[in-house]
Amino acid sequence: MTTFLLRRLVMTILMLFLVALAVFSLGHLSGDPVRLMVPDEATEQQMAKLRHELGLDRPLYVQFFDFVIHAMHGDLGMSLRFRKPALTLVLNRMPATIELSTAAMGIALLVAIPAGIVSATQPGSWADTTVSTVAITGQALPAFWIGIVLIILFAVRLGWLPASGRGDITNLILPAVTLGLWPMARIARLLRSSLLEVLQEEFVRTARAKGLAERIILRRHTLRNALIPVVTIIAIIFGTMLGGTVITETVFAWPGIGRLALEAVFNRDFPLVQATVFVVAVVFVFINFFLDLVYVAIDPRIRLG
Amino acid sequence: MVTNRTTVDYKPNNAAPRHLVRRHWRKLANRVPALVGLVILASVVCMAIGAPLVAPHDPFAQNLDGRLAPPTWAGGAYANLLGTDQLGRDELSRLIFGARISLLVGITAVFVAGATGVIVGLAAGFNGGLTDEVLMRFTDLMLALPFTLLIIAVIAVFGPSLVNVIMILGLTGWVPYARVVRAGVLSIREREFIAAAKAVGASNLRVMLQHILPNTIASAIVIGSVELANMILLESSLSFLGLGVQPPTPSWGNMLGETRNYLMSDWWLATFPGVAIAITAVSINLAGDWIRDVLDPHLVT
Repeated sequence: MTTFLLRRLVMTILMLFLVALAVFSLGHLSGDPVRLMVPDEATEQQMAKLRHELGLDRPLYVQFFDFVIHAMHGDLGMSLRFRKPALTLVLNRMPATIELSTAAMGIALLVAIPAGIVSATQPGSWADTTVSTVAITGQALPAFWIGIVLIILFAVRLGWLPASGRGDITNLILPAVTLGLWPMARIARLLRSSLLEVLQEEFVRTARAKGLAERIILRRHTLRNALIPVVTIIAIIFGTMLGGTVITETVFAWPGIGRLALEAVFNRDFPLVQATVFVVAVVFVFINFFLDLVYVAIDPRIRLG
Repeated sequence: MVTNRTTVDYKPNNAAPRHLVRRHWRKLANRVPALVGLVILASVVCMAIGAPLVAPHDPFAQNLDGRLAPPTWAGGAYANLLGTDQLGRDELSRLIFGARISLLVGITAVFVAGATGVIVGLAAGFNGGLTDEVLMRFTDLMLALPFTLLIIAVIAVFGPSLVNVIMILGLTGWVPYARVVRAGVLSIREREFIAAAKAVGASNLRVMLQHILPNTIASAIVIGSVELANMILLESSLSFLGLGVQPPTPSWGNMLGETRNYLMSDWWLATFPGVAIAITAVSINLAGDWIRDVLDPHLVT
């Protein structure tokens, strides 16, 4: 187990390095990072001056080394628009996004796990058909459109819930449902197919043969095994969801990092864009690491092997 | 008939797939959802190709006197079946032309992603060793980066346009193909017919393209059918955010983005583009399930 954890830790550090490299490269993709920062009418002299001030006239590897050292000290550059450290701006918006995505994932799991179990244990039943149909449709609906429809229905027509902004729990419901719908559909379908596969195994037949109640077989034998592929994919789903926050936050005017990133793109505030991508990627790498620990907890083969 | 049969007898290789296709066609008749999906998809494609013939109006023609007219059955004029938008443009015509953008972006992005992924997967699986290690770590990195955010950042660098959207979706979406092709290559690489091909002196490139690729391409096609729906959804999201196809060119996503301020009061503007996206994506998924069963029943998507 120690070797496993050590391996994962080394991998995590390597990933962090690669993330830094990727985010650093983003700025140089267009050839000249200064172009991204100045208005179109800037003169060549002004650009040369800025290039020198920002140290962009040094060799690339020096710049990258500098970037990594600064990033380790929590310095991701200054936002051009707000004239504040980009990292502070991102971290200020972080709680809103964490609140939203946790709520969304919570709703997704709360619905998807029972739905997946029901449809796998009664394949072909009306419940199974309903779950599958809803899940296929749910995966095919664009999140921003679901958001708009929910707002029209529950905020404008019925007036039950607020349409936008962040405040108490009523503000959270609509955006969380919007963001949670895709992972909900994905997890339900995945759990169904993985549970169906495990139910074919011989140890399930043995458990039935010795007269165990279906409930106990499900809890002790099948569910644990069926959850392994689900846990692996939750990491990827989380990544997709963090991206999905851009859309949900825009539709609901939710003050999180997704909207911050989008505003930064429109304001040509490139350091802020970079900082957002960097922070989210780092968070995501750590989520992956912790999911590996969960993986160890539910799969003894890794713990012992 | 007789000549036909002899050719089949002489080339047993061809007999198997032809038989397979015929069997699945017959089976398709029994699979209502897949059939419905294929029919809808075919009509969307026909509509997109024949857009200038099908659309009742010019999708760009503005009519400021007839702004925000509701659909015909909700009290609007017969001329605009699905109503008009805030510039008086015919909603139905814009939807029909919007199908072109969605399908164009979706299909080309899937091709770019598929080609890249297949090449990466083949190279990694066939060469093994260091190449494999480096390419697979790179794939992990692609999965570790928050996708949508990355796409947005890249668009921030290059600016939004149709070509940029296609390239970015294509070049970020190759990971699933690479993984599935690599897995396929690994299982085929050690088979006898590969050793036989090498023994008679086939070059590496020939072995890869003639013997390994045809045996792994099926799973890549299955992934492609799933990804097509995802790409169409992504394009619509980007266009909605204003980062994709730029107005006045109609796309299902930017039709919703452009009319954002009117969505609450004029429901038809909010409804139809979303329904169009959803119907197309669902029918692609339904047809995709069938394609998977035909080509690669064991692949979990």
